[in-house]
Amino acid sequence: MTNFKIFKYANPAKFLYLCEKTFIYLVLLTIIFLSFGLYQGFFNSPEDYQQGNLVRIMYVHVPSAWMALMIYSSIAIASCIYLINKHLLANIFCKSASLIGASFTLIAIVTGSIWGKPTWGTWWVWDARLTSVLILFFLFVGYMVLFDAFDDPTKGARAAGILVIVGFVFVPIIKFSVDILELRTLHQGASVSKLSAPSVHESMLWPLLVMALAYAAYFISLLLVRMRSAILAARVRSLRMMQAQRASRAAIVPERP
Amino acid sequence: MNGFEEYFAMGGDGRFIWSAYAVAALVLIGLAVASVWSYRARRSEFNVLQELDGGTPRSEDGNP
Amino acid sequence: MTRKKRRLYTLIGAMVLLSAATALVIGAFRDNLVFFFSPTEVAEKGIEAGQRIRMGGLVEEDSVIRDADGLTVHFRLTDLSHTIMVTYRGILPSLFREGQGVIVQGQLDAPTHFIADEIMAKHDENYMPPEVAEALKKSGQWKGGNE
Repeated sequence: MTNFKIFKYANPAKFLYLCEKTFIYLVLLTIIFLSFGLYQGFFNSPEDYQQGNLVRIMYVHVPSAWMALMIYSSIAIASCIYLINKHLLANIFCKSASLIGASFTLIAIVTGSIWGKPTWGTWWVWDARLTSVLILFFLFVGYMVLFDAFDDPTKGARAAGILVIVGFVFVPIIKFSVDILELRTLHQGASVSKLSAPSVHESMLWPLLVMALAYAAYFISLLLVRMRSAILAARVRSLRMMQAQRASRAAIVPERP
Repeated sequence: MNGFEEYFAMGGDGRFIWSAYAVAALVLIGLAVASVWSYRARRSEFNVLQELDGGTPRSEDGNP
Repeated sequence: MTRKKRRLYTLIGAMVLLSAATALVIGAFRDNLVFFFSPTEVAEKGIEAGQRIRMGGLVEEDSVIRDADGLTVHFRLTDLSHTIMVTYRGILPSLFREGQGVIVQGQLDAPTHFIADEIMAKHDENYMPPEVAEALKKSGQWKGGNE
């Protein structure tokens, strides 16, 4: 009866009710932030003194990298909760968020590459910063593959959870060692998150932050769709199981005296 | 028209800027469409199974 | 100890061990993780001619000389304590200019002469409109090393 654990632990009824109530507002919020961010980025922000209009690539690139790190971290934390408490809603979160995280990582890599060619003069270099983001992308992909690699979904979730936590240990260490050991990279250092005042001018900081909010709202809306989808899939699986059991029982019954 | 073309060219960097935005839009829209499709497919599968089950069709959250 | 607690402690233990191992590995490979050397390091480490390396520094003011073929450039790369002459043939990135931070890839052919086959311009982490940059320079509050 393992299939019914999902009803026992996750309380999907409450979760789905919440989804239904908030979903439309989240979509609206995404649209509002996105149109405001794009307007700011294209029509209400100046050219940069060094890179000219290329600075506008930053408004899709930087928030993508932020989202990628944020989603990876939240999957790692949810995996800890799943591995320790066996909370199934945490597992459904991990499964649903991973593809969105991989997509944001891909956007960060590709848009960064498109920015790098005219600015640095190269599409790609193997410096510590760029390489660690590529590793992040492989971790996401490996996570998704491992999740579905076993016949027993619990085994897949456990193996993938361990992978993502192992990776989670690496990522901040790489990030901080780049900053603290002052490993020299081609990629410039952080501008917004550093402890002193951000070195992005106000007029460019606004579109950046609004776009980050748009991405966050997009992530949550899509997460809800994917989590509902995953809960439905689990229910379909348990319904199939019940029907198969009933069918086999029906097949056995007539043979009884 | 000239002003628009000039804006579109972005001082010669237009192809980089527009392709970066195109990649981002493609990935984000593609992901959203794929997610909604798979949600719809699972929902109809669920409804069919539930009717086969003989029970009254219920909404996905378990309430009648 | 409950099973839940045992799982929690196993997880924490494994994460601590793994972090320590990673930190040690990064410490050990620190020199290899550095993307480029400075001219001072190139001078002091006794890097041999013909060994492929990357070297980063500032393009010294008034040092860029372009050959008549329009493709070859010579300039001095400096970290303000050591200076190495660089020769490069090819297309320069648009941010390349005097005072700009660049990374050159190639090899030494004499202790103070570097033949580059690739040049990358380094971008700093300051983003601002041109007027603001101008105003900062005028008021003497310019913090960037470039220009």
